[in-house]
Amino acid sequence: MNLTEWLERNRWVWSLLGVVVLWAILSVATSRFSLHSLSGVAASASFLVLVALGQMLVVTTGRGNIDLSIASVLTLSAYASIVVTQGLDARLPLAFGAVVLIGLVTGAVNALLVVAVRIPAIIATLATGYILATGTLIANRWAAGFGMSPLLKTLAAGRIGGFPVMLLVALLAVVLVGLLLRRTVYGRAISAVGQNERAAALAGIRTGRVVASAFIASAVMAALTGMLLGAYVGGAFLEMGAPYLLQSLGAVVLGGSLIFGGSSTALGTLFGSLLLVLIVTTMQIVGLPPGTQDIVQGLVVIAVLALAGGQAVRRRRSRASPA
Amino acid sequence: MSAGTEPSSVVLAIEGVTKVYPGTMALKGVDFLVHRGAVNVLVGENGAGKSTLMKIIAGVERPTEGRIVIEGEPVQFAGTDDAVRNGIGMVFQELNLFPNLSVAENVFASREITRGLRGIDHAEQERQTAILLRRLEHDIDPKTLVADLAIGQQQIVEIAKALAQDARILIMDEPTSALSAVEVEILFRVIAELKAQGVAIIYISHRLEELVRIGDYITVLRDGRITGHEKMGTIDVRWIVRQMIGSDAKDFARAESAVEEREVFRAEAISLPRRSGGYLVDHVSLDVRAGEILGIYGLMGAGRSELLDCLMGRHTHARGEIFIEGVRVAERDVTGRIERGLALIPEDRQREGLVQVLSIAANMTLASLKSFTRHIHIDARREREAVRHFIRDLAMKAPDPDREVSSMSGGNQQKVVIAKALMTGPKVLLMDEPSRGIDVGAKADVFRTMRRLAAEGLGIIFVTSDLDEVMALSDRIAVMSNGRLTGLFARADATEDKVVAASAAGHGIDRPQSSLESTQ
Repeated sequence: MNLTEWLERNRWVWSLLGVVVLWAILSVATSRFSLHSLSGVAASASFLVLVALGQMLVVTTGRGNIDLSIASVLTLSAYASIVVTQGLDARLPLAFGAVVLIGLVTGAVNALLVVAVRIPAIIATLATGYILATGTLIANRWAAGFGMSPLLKTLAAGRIGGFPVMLLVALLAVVLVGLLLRRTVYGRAISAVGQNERAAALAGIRTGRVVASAFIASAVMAALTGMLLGAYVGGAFLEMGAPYLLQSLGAVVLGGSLIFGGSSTALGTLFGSLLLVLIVTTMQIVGLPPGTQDIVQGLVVIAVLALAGGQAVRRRRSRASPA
Repeated sequence: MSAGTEPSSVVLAIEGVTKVYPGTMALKGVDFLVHRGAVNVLVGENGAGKSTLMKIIAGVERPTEGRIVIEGEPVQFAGTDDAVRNGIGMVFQELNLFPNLSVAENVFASREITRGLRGIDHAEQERQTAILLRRLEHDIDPKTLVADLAIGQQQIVEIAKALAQDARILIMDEPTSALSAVEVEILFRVIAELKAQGVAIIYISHRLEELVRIGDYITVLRDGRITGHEKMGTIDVRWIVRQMIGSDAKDFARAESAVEEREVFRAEAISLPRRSGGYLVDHVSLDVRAGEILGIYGLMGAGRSELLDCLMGRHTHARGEIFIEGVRVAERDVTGRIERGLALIPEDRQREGLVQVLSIAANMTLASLKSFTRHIHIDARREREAVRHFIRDLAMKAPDPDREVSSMSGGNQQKVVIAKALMTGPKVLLMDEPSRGIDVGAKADVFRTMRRLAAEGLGIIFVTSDLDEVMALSDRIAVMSNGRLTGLFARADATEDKVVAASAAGHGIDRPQSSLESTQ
């Protein structure tokens, strides 16, 4: 196997390369930037990793599937967690249950709309997200004045010997999702469905269930992230989920997953998340206003998609010719 | 007019046209004459080059070599609008109408009659449309929405659209494929009227009965070449079928028949209703014994692929029962039927058989992953072993099973699809055109594999449009026509003539005897 072929198959390498290069530049350019600050970047990237892994599964199922409800799920879960725990460790299991339930229900509704009712995912998940946003407005009134469960706080913001606990959680999730994609029937099935639904169906794969499970997984991941993020920032606020919408897609795309579906790696999403957070950090260091930061993030995603799209077309052409 | 030239009725001549696409030659030195005031029939199997030829006439594609002559003048079409300007109109197989617009708006789509800043002159458009529709003897209100019309009426609108652009040469691609019998009659009347008005019609259809009925001239295409051009009166359906199919030497790996007594598969009254009424598959019953290869022969549109799809459980609204080894199969979906021992090798390898980004190995095991699963993960070692076994078994050229499946040749890709089906451990194998689009060597391999699998006790049902293939490979031959089973022959008493006759049954050739003699 030659290098180009290997690179084509392991597209996540590019995002890793991006992380290393950007970090090196930052280290040289600013004396403030060190290994410690990288671990800070890693900690905040960890939340993005969790959301992006779910988004990645949805994107992998192809047909333009996408989950736009994650921002609302995340915010609502953060509120729910705070309201239910009321700052007490003892009530943590209950809160966990409530948060998972939010994820399961939202994911199931999304799946139902997309798979059974056949509404395009971009509209279906946008709509469920809006409905949930109303829920957060109501929750916002109840949540005032509660503290944070100490245990949850440790999980989200604690460090073991300078190493963020949250990063461990994210890495664990990456390993699990990575194994799921590479080593299980489900991983093969989701890839097959994303690339060629007809062939997958003819191979006996129950395509509807595969797509549905991806939506449910995405919503549950977003819900859990919301719970942890609430603990990390020490509260919930209405706009807390908003940045994760574009960023989760950005991380998936930067990580080398095909936006048309069928081909993704968990490792790519990890490095994609890191790279995106590094880019944001860089912009903060340079002192760009938040609005400009959003513009740059948008441009990065568009640039990567344009590159990837062009590549896909070129590949198809080169393949079609020698028939 | 110079002496010696008879007054020509030829309005359009295609002269020595060759069309080369990267990797393939779609047309090879084609000469095609289109006569004024006549129905010029063009037939050929799928992939014979009909659509390419039509695209060239309609200005969609340009010929690599050769020229187009209209009324004696060589012309060049830079695009479809050039062709339209030269009086060429096309009625597509899938109607290109806007259902949300009125008849008049459709007829004048993109060529609206405008009154400067006051916008579209609807009254004038409707008046002209009404005249056109009356010419076609159809009383359709030009203000009606196209969505509210029957398919047959929509076709008339399509024709009106072409006539509105002064079409003198009208291409009709499978115009009757979606029509009911009554609507077909109406269309034929319209065609007769157009003929009388001097319009030249190029008529493409797979329904031989129609061609014989309304055609004046017939041209047959096969593999990009013209294999016959005759006046309709002098030939019959058998002649058409012969020219379409031809015969070339093939290696069929003939072997002793391995048919056992034991019935492995039975289908009873399989039906697939068509949306516009009638049946795509019309109460077909058949059975297969262990070790038997049952060939299903028929022309395009006979319902063969649809039958296999029904057997596999791909159509939820299909009716009928199937039995495997005498036990009724209650499962009605693909997943369930695979588990019960059915496997389908689809005709369209690229779209239904393979997942392009997955590796060769992953494609092979896609339908049988459960058998390689330990606890929750796939046992990579066992999967690799099975893959290696089948690569050897089917003589695949796959040095690295981890490469993407799209890196293989067509023949090897087909073997991947076959391996995928075999890995599910089927009792009955359904193969739809298993030799289509693969080279001679791979074909021989596929045929050998079919023989060997039958010898191992599998029941095989395969569909083919290749007469030689069905004659040589089958233990029994089932013939379909118009969705019905029109013939069932044991190998011993199947002759090409009988099979061809059955494949044309219901295609209105009750007069072949006389015309056959007249050609001798």
